[in-house]
Amino acid sequence: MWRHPYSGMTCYGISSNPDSRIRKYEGHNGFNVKWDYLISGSQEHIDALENDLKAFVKKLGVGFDEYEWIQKDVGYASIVDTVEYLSQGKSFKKIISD
Amino acid sequence: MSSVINLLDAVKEQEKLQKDNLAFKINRGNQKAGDTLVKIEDLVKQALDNGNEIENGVEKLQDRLGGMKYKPEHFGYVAMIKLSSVYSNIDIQRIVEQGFIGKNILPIFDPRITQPINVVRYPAGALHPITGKKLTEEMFTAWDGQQTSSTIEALLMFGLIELDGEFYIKANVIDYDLEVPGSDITGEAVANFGFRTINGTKAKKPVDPYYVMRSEANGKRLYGSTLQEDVHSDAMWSCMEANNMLPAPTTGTEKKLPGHVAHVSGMKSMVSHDTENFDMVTFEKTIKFLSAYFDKDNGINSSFYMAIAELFQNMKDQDITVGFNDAQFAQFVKDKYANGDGFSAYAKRRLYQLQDKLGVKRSWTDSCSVPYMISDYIEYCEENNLEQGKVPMPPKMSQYVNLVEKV
Repeated sequence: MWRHPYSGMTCYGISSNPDSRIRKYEGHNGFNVKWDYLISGSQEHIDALENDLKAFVKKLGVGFDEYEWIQKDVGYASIVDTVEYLSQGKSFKKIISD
Repeated sequence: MSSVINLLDAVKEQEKLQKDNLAFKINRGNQKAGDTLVKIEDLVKQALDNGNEIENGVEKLQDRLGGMKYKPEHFGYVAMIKLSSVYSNIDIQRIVEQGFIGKNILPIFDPRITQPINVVRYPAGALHPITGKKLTEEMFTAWDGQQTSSTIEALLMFGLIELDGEFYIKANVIDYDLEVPGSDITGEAVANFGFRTINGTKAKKPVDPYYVMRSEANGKRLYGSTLQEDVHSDAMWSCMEANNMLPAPTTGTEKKLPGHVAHVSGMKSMVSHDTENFDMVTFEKTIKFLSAYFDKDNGINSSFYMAIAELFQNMKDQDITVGFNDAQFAQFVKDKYANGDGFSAYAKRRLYQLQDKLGVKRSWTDSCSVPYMISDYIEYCEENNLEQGKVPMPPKMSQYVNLVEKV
């Protein structure tokens, strides 16, 4: 996950290569980007977590368009809490969790 | 300044809402459901509020009509007509479906549930539609309702209808020369067009298996039906309710809600619904397992349902009544695949990899599910030093779990 410093929105997603993904973000934004929250796990567990999060974001209408972005009105800390809540019972390795 | 939304609070509230909705639907059942009779006008208004497809369709029709409008007489009329005056246009209609009539219609035949046949009327004086000769008496050509009229004819032949004189059959009639706006065909051409239109997928949307099962279950619980299909569906529905689960339609959002199973046809097939082999014991074990361990999944998807149902079926076939550690097995499913959707995606990937290696066309089959689960479970128990307990050996294990996978 990464919180955009200017728009205030939070993006989330799955990548098999986070280094490559972050370079793409930097290319699109024109400034340095660092992940705010990064975890790794099996494809099944990561997919399940993203599907759960995406489903709630859609149901609650807090996404930005159809993209994997959460609106700025949603507190970032509560997004992290949600991810950890939805991660219960799944095996993840935390890499960055500021 | 807008207030900050706490996503976790909102998610938990949403989860509670979903749980309450499921409990409400289960507790309400179908017996206390109010407002079950709704005017067509209100149904359409509701549909128009929920989408614009009907409106778009109306616009297309308006374009085709070019400013003209239909009148009531353009719809034909309903009448009781002599069965002996009805001719089937065999260039248009199907043959008499002997098996369908014998196995599907007659065992549950009810004269009130016969639909009007669709006919074109040729009065005396009109030209015969095939020979072109002037008709001396009225005749009707039937373009739909062949199985209905054939069934009634058979009942007459076998003396199951008491009759004094002619049998008159319900019919939806259009006159041979009736013209309507937006169309340049009449008579048998309308019949030919009508046959495929009324019977094809363009005009008749197949009813979702969920609604059939609901009708069957309601047959028993609301109307005291003793039909086997109704009794079986009611038993299944009640078993699901008792375990905080419900069937769901294959379309719409309900199937993605916790506690819902949309694979009604799979459930019926696995339980041997409406047969003498109807097996509620295995069905209940399946439902109990899914309810106990996967009640938070976003619905139980078809392939996961089939996998668990077949797992319990295999146990029954192999007389495994004790020794299966269901809690440990459920934990394994969660550790390995995360949830039912995760298992389905995993099984599909693994099967396709195997099919690619074998050089055969990729195609999904539920047969691979239990072999993959059991093989993974055995590995999981070994890796985690767990007592495996009793597990069934799937008959098709070697077809899906073999050395070819590792080539």
